[in-house]
Amino acid sequence: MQRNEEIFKKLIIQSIKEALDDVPTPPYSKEETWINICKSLFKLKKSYND
Amino acid sequence: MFHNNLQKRNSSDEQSKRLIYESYYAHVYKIAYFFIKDPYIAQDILQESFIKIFTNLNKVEESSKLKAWVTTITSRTAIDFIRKQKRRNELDVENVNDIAVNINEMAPSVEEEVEKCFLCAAIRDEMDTLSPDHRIVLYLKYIHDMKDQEIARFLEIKVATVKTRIHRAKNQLKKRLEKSSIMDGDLYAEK
Repeated sequence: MQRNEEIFKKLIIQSIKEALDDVPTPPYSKEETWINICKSLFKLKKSYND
Repeated sequence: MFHNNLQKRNSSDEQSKRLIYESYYAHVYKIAYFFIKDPYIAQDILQESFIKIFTNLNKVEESSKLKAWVTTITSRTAIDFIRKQKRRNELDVENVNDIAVNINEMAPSVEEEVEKCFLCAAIRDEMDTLSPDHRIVLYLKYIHDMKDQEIARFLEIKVATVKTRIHRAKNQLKKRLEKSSIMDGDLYAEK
């Protein structure tokens, strides 16, 4: 039983790792997202200053 | 890379931010997607996570802990999202019976790897059907090797709740393996 649990644990870990490596392409490009982040940071900075 | 300069750099340093973004973009997106399973929401979480990362960058004391800190912020952002969503739309938690896994001795052969792929595929399929709450505890427990108490503190929930979620998640995965007839079938039968 202990061994079964060990095997099961390894399978879960491997499955999670595989799932983390198997993601669909993000809907927006990296650059587009970066621009959005910069815009939000700018707005935040502006609101702090105001 | 930027780790060497992390102590020196100013949190408003645009180049550092860009470098951090480039370095952790994939990492953050993977975590967000693993929890949420929706690319659009995962991208929103990514965006929000980086905003939090950049506005709190001065709080990172050790450069070696940057990745862990980025992971924590992303996980928390995803959890916050799930909680907000939950408040809007109550998620049902499946009540899964305790079913023991029956795995016989594994044959130490090349076949083992192929067989493992089948098992992993079954687990992965089932993992997609788990609620985000259950996927998160599995991720924290098995990938970050966190103890139940640590997960409870991290998620701000009771230890008993963590235990229940792990138990239910594991049982659901085991049930799937049994259903797929892999565990009881020939694959792991003693030879």
